[in-house]
Amino acid sequence: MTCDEAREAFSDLYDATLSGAPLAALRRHLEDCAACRAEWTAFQRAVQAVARLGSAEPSPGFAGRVRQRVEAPSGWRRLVEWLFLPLHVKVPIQALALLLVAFAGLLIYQQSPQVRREAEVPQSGGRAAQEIGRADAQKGEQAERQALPASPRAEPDRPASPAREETRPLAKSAAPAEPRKEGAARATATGPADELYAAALRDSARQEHDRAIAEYRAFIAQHPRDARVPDARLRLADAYFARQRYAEAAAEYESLTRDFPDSPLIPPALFRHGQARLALGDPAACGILREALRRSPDAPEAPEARDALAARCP
Amino acid sequence: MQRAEVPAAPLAAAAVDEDRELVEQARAGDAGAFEALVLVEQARAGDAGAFEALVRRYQGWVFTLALRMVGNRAEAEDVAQEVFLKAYRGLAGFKAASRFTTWLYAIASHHCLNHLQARSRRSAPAGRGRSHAESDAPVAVERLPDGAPRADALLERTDFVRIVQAEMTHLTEEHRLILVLRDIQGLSYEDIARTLGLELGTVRSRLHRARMEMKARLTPYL
Repeated sequence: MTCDEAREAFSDLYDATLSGAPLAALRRHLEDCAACRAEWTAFQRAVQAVARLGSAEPSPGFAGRVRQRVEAPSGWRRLVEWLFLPLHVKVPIQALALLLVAFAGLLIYQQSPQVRREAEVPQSGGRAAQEIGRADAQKGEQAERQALPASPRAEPDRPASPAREETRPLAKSAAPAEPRKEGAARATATGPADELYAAALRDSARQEHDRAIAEYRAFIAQHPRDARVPDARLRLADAYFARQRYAEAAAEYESLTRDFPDSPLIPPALFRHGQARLALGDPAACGILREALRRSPDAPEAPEARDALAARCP
Repeated sequence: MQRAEVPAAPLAAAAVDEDRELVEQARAGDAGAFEALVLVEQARAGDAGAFEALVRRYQGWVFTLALRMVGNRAEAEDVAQEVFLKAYRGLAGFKAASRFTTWLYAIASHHCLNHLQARSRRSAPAGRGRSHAESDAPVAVERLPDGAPRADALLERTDFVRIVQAEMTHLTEEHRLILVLRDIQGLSYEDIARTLGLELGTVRSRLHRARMEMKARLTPYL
């Protein structure tokens, strides 16, 4: 018997499951091999040490605690009891609460057209347009449609570009107008076009530009004859600008000025087109900004454009 | 055990209907198994007191298994409670042909393994290794680079039992379980095979490997 064979049989020897010739061979090996004898002694001591760990008892009252858990109602049963018991108290209260909720829902439903009409009244009178503070149209709805979109704002986590830095003051001044315009759009939302446009305005206001881009694009594609298309295109360009997608922004500004040359949105579109070209390092930016200044020397964007021309268009 | 002192005749008759082997066991003097089955029948019928008596009867065994497996008393009590709750919910599925102890030990063994595996999974994202042993060992035994324990550390921790428990937590869960079942709980190879659902040969070889590993770990202290 080899040492390996002998040591493989230690467990059987310990548990007295060996007999006959194997047992005799193992005993002879252990008598002759001092190393295996030492290993056998260590093996026995180790197993005995484990055995001496012995049994243990849980803390007093263990069985009682288990019984309590066994007898405790299950979670769903506790929930049902909590909701409905005692029946004669809770069921009438719940029935009354249900009736009140149903009545309140009915009232709200009945009054909702009136609320909508009330929202539309000040708009038709031009107050909404004044609140927006941009449009000069005669009617509130037209004012909302033609109102200038906010100046583009680049994402705060992106590296700043010169154009972004320059447009920041305008972004601050224009930002408060966004929620009001969104509210106006919601109030007049009566069809798919209105809903889509309101969603785009809302996402612009929340600076969720990627969603806004998709919504403006969908609006322009699905409602090409809508009076708000020029506004939507300017806002789409602004959203690209805010996402620092300057090439797409520049293309949108350019197509807006080409397709709607008489729109009151052209001056801001020209200034922003120039800023987008500047951000792209396009030499054409200088000409565009000069043209914008020629057309609208007193526009809010004019000082920034002059600074940019002085710094980058010698 | 007061709960087991019930009128034997009707229960024995019921047991005969269900399993003749039980009566044979009772006749052969295995009164413990018979009493357990009586309590099981009462518990099945909704007698929570009978189940409490069953818990009291086997709580030491289940708690010892849980304690040696998880390494600390508070967690072991939780595990032991869960074992008994599982057993209670599974009473309907208990076959009288098998011994209640084998059935209960199987639940306890598998629950301990599942508990340890779940604990390992929970602790794995924190960067720990294959087992919880490194963090949950009751005693952290300091070792010199050559593997020998420091004399002062040994002097500080004269409780050899705690050292053995700590070293056991370094074994794999399967090795630890089979050591506990055989060398602490004293189950036969056949009972271990039934409890764990293993072949006898597997029990024999796994137990031997577990013991050899434990010998290697304890040799510096022996």
